[in-house]
Amino acid sequence: MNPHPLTDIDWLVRGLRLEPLLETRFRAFYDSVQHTNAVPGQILDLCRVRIAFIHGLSDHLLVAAAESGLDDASLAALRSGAFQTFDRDAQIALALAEKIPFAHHDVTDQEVADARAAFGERGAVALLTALAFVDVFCRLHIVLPSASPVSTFPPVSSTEA
Amino acid sequence: MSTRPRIESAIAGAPPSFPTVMAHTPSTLSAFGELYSAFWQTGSVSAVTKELTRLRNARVTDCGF
Repeated sequence: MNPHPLTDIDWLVRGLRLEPLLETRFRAFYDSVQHTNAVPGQILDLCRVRIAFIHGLSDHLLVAAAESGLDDASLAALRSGAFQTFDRDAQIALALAEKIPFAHHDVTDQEVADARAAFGERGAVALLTALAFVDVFCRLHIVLPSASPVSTFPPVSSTEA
Repeated sequence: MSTRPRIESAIAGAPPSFPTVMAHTPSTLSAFGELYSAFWQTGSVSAVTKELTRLRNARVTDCGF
């Protein structure tokens, strides 16, 4: 297996090139979701890695973790689902991330209210959209394996000013 | 699952719904609309088949759409 970083969409959009319109618009949507300034990039990175853990994408995770600059302790916390070591805003985002893949109906009013309080209305929408997109992206990684060379999009946190 | 809107509409006077809530992030809403439109307009899979799979996916995930 030749794992792709979870921030790499080249392997996917290559498959869309027979449909150039779809390729262009998929990339534009990806950019709008992943490179939002409504939620700190470091928090989106934590959520991205946690959702990948939930999906069992361990090979991709090693690359994703390295990209995001996560230390071993953070990675262990994300692996175990014990988020107490992260700051409150990260915990709020991770609580939502935890449920998006397989328990999205269990997201509570309070969890969404916490996200609104932490990130504002715009940030809450941006966060929930990003979590759903990461979930979709992980699913595509699972059903569309590719042996293409690794080509990375930088992790969200590294693109912030 | 909540039966009450959890995030208010971004459009004054409009009730909360998928597009009016997503309007809090206009660029993402616009990009999503463009992508969704391309999804339905392009490809070798017929719109009928896409709709069948969309409906089945919505049922499996207990989505109201």
